Amino acid sequence: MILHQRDLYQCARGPTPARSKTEALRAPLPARRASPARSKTGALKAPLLALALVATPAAAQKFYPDDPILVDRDDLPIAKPGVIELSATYDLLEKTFAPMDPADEVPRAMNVNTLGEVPDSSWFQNRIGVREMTLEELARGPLVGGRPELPLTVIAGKATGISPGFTVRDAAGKVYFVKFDPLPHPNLSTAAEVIGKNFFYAIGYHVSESYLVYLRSGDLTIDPGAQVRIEGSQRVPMERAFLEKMLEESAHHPDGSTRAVASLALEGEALGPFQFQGTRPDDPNDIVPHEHRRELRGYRVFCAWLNHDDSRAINTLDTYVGGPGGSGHIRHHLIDFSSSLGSGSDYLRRIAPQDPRAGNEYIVDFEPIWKAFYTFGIADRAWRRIPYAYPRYAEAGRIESEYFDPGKWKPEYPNPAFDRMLADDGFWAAKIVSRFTDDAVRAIVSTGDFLSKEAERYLADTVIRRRDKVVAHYFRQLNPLEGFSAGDSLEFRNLGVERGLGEVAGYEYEWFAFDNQTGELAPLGASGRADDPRIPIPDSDSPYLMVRIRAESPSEPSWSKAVDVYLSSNRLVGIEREI
Amino acid sequence: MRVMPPIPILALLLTAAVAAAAQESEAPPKTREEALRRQREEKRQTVTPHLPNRIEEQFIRLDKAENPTIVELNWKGFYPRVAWPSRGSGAAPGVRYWNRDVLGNLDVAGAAFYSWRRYQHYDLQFGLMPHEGNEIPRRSWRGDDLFEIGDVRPGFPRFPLFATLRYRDLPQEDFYGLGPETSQEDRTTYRQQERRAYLATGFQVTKRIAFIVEGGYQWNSIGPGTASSFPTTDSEFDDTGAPGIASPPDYVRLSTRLFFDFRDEPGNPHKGWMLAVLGERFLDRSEDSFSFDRIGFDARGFLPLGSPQRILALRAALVSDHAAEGDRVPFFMRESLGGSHTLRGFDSFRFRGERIGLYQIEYRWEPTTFWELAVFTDAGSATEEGLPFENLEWDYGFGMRFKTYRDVLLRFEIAFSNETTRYYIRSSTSF
Repeated sequence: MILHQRDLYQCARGPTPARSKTEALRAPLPARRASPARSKTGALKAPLLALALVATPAAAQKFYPDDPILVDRDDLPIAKPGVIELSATYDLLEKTFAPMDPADEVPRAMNVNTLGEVPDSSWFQNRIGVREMTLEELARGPLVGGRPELPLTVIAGKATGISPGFTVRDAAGKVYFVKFDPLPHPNLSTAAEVIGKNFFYAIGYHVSESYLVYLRSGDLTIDPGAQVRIEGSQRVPMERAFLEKMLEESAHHPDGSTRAVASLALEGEALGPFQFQGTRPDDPNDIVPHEHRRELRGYRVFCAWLNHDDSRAINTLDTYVGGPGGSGHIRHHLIDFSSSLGSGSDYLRRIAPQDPRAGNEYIVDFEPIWKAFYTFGIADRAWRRIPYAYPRYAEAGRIESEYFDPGKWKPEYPNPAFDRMLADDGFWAAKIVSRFTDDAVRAIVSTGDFLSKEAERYLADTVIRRRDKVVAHYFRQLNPLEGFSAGDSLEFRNLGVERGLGEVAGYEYEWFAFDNQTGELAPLGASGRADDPRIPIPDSDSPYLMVRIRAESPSEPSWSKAVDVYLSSNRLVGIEREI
Repeated sequence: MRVMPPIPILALLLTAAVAAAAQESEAPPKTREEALRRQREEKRQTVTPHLPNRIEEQFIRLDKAENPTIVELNWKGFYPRVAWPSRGSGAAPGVRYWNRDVLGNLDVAGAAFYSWRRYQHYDLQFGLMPHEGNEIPRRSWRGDDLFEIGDVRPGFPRFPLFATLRYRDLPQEDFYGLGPETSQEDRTTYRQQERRAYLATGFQVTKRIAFIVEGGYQWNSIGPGTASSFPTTDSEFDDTGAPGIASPPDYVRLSTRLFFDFRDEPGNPHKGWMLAVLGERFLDRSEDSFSFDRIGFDARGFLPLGSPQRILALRAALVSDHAAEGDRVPFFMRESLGGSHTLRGFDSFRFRGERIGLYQIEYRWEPTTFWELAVFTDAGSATEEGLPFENLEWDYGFGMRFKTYRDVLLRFEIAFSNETTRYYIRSSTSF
């Protein structure tokens, strides 16, 4: 029997029908899901040069000698691109009212290696997902540049927007962006900023360094050229009285100082935000449409976990790093986590505990709107009945874990990458989430430096429970086999069983010889069954072997989905998952 | 032996090199890294700058503009605005002036508006004026009538003290007669010109409780209305049917208002209640036959029906004028019912009387926070004596509102009564 590997790269066209083994082999592991909102934007009109790092044309070589690659060298020198500007209003309107064209097919993520993992790149740096991180490391997060050295010189002010603040230069000449908590909500947003940043750093995203600082008026001087725009006027020179007023109207620490979060300016020259769709047309290194990048699809899982509903394009930033005069490249960052966890903004766009809607419904969500419209308001939102612990743990804001449903979580408005997230994207992200132990979560939450230990404990407990829900949800979407190692036999782990999500009676498997040039599969004997996650490797001269494994679980039907594992000379070279 | 000329050799070598390079580029990549590098090199040949589309470009320009927003837009404190100085005035473009802390904490405010129906409004205020931060003070255009005082929000300072000079010219005010026994066909128009000078002070007891005391002088002038489609009031009514039309009185006016505002958001309430209590004395300084006192209250309650997206809004307002012995209350000073805030199924100023009662019920539901729908019914009575609970006129209707969290931006309503059907487009809440 000859099978073609190109079938493995088919795109989804609907739910996987029940199949016999033979039928399954003819159409193995299709991607799936009738995608929800999707898109038509200028960004997508960019030439789709990108091919998946693993996806090669039909009948072409599937595995290269350097597979699986661990690093995607997307740091080739490029001329400095121009600055991209983004209108937050336009972004909201476009994503809400004119999303990308609906498509019948949602392709698998295109930037994964042959193991389905995301290689290190200018977008993502594998950290806790691939190695142990000490609690000290987790608590330190991205901090390497050093705390701001006092005194700080204010070089610009920001009196409008969700969180007023300053741009300052410290005594060492480094530039920081300083933001405060509003008077009624001490520690709320500054803690969310630091904690959120440390989580996303440990996950693997590029973020800036943020420090909690406790300032007194005497720590701040004003640069003669500093200006500020206040409501109702254009920019005006910043005066001492304005600065004092801003400090006075910010939350105070019990010792009389004003707490702020100081974020070090990112390395390189800012080039504006990146979009969650298309590619930058002026960046040769950017060849995978962003909506098909696994770390951007999987970002949804992390954002749901940490309730980062403000995870939109305006809160990202590209910088040109690595060298002047055309020898640098672009690095992609996430910025601004002040609206995450239990921190958000109120209707006047001032820092406040999260709106109960946040995470549960888009700003404009047509389905509940129409339901409420034609039922005279009788059809109500379930999230209105969530009994939040706020304000008992005021510093933690409004966040809970009992009603949280990772599969239904929503950001502020549709995100093209989130909308295209497939089960294997979610599984990749959930694996990383599962790496955060209780102690790891507590170590990171402690960096919020809460005044109330009860609030800190509540937030950490909530994040831990949300973690468990996230992991359970995505480990139940497909067959969660992982940790393959080949010796005399092929051993692996069932992450679902390890998390106590279900029992497995055994594993069905079938070996094939795989032709790397043509993609043809030739069965090697009959299928087998193993009680334990250990299956024998057949003798074969074929340079490549593939084994298809399904778990038998009465409680978890999704675990019967296939996982194809490729070996070359007993070296693991590929993993593909049916979704 | 022939020596090959150097140029053909170079050309040959160059051709060979190009061919070799081409062959190499056409050969399949040997590694994944090479395959990816080739894709990137291919894109390098076609890079183009990112260009936003035209609409996005305009949004970016707006976002970047450091000019004030349209609400903040002003020239040296002069803010362009459109107002409706009186019911039936039509839209009046004009300017407001706002300059805070001109002399120490003293503020200056002013307004000048002229409507397409030739209504005019000018005022100037100076002193410690209630306001929130840098925002231009909110105001009630009819701050001297009971039905609007609930929209005057308490602000800072806690001890306001300010003087006001005001002139209004209302050339087409409607009058149908006094009491409940009037008909739509009785419509007449008159012109009212009013000048006021007064001093106001007060105290904001808490964020939700405040009182204001005003005292000043009011000059009135009444003349024929300018609307050509209706007869003038003086041609249809004498001084008995329209007291004060022959010799409109001037007043010394003393006013006290007490506010209890426990609404969650005054401009867009979802829960809570408000009570405004009014006591006024009008002392006739000209003919000495039109002095009267006015007392009244305006109570509004907002009950969420199990959810903030379902609101039952209730309102009851009563005004009672009491003339001194032998005196009467001028027709143009009496409260009225009709129009977009009171009896919505009737024309503005449709009913006037010494006793006014107004009762309103609205069921409001919000499919989303910025979109509200409503069904409502209004009932009211304007009588010359007795209590305003009998002979109620009533209407019903439905509406749709677009809102921010703080205010109603646009209100579309249609209301039906036994007299007429009225349509409204307004930029304020119904109550």
